[in-house]
Amino acid sequence: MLRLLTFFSTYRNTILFLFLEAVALYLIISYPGSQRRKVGDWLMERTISYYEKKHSITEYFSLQAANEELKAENVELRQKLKFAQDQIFGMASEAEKDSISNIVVDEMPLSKDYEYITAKVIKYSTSKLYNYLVINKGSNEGVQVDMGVVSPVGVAGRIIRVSPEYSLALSALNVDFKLILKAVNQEGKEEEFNIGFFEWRGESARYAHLTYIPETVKLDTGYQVITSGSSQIFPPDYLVGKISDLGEKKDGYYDARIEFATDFNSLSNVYLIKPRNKAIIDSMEQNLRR
Amino acid sequence: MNQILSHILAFAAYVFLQVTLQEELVLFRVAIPFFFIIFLFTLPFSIPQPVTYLIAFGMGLTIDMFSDHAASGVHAFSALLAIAARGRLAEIISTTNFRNLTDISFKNQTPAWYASYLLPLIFIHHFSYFFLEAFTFQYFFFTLLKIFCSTIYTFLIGYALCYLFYSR
Repeated sequence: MLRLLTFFSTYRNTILFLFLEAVALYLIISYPGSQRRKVGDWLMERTISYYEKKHSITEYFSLQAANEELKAENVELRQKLKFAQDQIFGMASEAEKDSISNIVVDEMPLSKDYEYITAKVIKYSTSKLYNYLVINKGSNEGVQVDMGVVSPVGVAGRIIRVSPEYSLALSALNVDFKLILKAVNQEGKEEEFNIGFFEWRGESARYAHLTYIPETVKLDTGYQVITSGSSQIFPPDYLVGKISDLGEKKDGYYDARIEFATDFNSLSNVYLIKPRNKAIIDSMEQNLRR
Repeated sequence: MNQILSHILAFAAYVFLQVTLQEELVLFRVAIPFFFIIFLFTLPFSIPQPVTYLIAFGMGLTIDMFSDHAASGVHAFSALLAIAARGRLAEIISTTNFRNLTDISFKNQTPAWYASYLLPLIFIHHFSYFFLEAFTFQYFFFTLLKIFCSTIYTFLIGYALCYLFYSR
């Protein structure tokens, strides 16, 4: 017994060291574990409110750029709307034309398929391998896990955790962020393929990779890369970026480098996208799995 | 008592600056400063080792709470690893005669002493931190590049802080 006590007293520093390291390792390994989710959520609410205060101060410095971006998006949407109206007008019969020209933009119904929630990114990082976005809306505002996050110009991330007031999203700058993409050339959609997988490898905040493109698919630099819509997260044809470089062919496949449309170094205004029929599709999938 | 209070204030200041400025101070996406560990490395040697372990663990955990993976233990692990190495390192590099560790002071040391004291400790911390953060060897060389650049960057900030607070 005495020996045991002397052992502990001589090695007490080492024992304390090993014990604390073991606790830290446990925290690291069990991080995705559910038992600590509650503590994590509680902490998230506390620490994020600090970042929200910081954001409310630093926001003023980037207000002008964010405003310009939103204005540019507005102009583009108005042009697209006009184009769509003209298309419909051209196709309509004489009898229908009257009623169509009477539709005022403000009274137009909202999209039946997707619901958009505007939100702000209050914290983001770009320098890690696993980057996240902290968003200022949570389950109180209807945010759910697996909603897509898009900036006014392109894809930005995906919601992975929701607390009442905030939510946490996987940034597209995260090596775990996966997406199926297709490419179209600039003129239109003559060449459209479900071509490859989105992959970010951590080396740059401006570029990502498009991997496993079959050799038979001929792509060129400048082609736009858009979402395929094969997942429930993003609607189809949402811009991700454009191809800036083509890689070597290997085993019948090749890679391409994508330049992001979204500027991750000044991310502020984002939209969260939710398919309106998500609940139905989810329950269908669960039934199928059973 | 006064000294303890100033250490507590320094602890709070380091944590505040670290969580506020971390993303703003990143250089070229590879140099990420974790200057809060300078607080741990400049703790006086008169503090008993187990106490420094607890301080390092607590400080790492505090920084972890503010990181994206709230409540993960990456910083806690790395800070503790580095602080455990510091006593031995200070013994090795101190060429001047001293009876025990408590005689080592951070005042009036040469830049060369600071480099040989801080650089290995910062390297140990960064090595542990970046590999645990990545949690994979898939990005091995990129992670190594980050470790080297960040070590030098943190050292420059750390030396500047030491020069400010410990020069005569």
